[in-house]
Amino acid sequence: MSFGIQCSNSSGFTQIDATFDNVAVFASGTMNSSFFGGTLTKTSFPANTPSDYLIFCKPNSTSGTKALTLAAFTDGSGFAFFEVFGSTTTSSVDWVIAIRSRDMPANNNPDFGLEVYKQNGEEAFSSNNQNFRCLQVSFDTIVSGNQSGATFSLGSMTNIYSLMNGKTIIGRQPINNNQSTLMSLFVEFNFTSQTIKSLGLPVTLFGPGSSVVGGGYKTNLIGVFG
Amino acid sequence: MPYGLKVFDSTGNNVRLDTTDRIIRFVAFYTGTTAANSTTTISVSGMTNDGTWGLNDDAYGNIYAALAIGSGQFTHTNSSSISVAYKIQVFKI
Repeated sequence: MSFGIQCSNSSGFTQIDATFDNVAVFASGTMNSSFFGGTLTKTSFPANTPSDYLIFCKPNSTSGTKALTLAAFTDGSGFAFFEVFGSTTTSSVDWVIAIRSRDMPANNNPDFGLEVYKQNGEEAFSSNNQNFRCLQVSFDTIVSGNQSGATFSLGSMTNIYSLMNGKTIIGRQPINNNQSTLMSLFVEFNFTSQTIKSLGLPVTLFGPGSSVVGGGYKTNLIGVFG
Repeated sequence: MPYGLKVFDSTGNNVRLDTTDRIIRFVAFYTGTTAANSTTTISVSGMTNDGTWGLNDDAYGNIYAALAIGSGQFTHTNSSSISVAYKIQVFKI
């Protein structure tokens, strides 16, 4: 390290190093989920959202169990959260779009805290922004359409968000001779057992066909913003 | 506080960074296309499969695409008979 600062946490993990971009909250809100056969609720991306955004979410309710998957529209117009195929009710979902600190709107009146810049002059970290503080991480290798990933166990589920980006559709599973369902990676929030896990579950009807799993890889992150 | 950095917001009541926080940092964003039944290898300085590197592919239609972290690189393997795009986020955790 020839310039800047390097800051590590008490376990030795680097927090700020002026080389990579820290992540900051760009936008947040609450919206209804959608389900197959119901009304689509889509949220538009805010103006100036960069293409390498991260989307996090959590159920607004803090009871029971809720599984959600992300659908980002290919035309870049927005995103939605879907319930498991067969659901007939929506739920309220809190979402956060996080982006690189360098892409955040300029803070023209910095008057407190810490700003760190990279060698090229881009902002790496600013305490003006809310940052994502990671609590747990896991990595899924997709091997089946209804697979179950690692379970995050928590002492409290309060304000815990999960990253929703990355692999979503993972395969197809027939339900009869004429129809199948697309299988998607969901994040299941279980407020009773205080666990969060990734699951392969059906999300929408699809045409006839045999069982297919494409494989792949996903990084799962949970944490809080602050 | 025996070590580390603690940063507060402007109110002085909320901690923006604490000494125990594990923070994610964005390393790079790669876009491109991998041909049918092929593998694309992308070099990333320092990358190793030690649990501190994350990868996610946000491309639509990536059902047959797989990612694997290697030493100083990662691979995007397309096992389908048509080419597929990739939009891969690389981050440190």
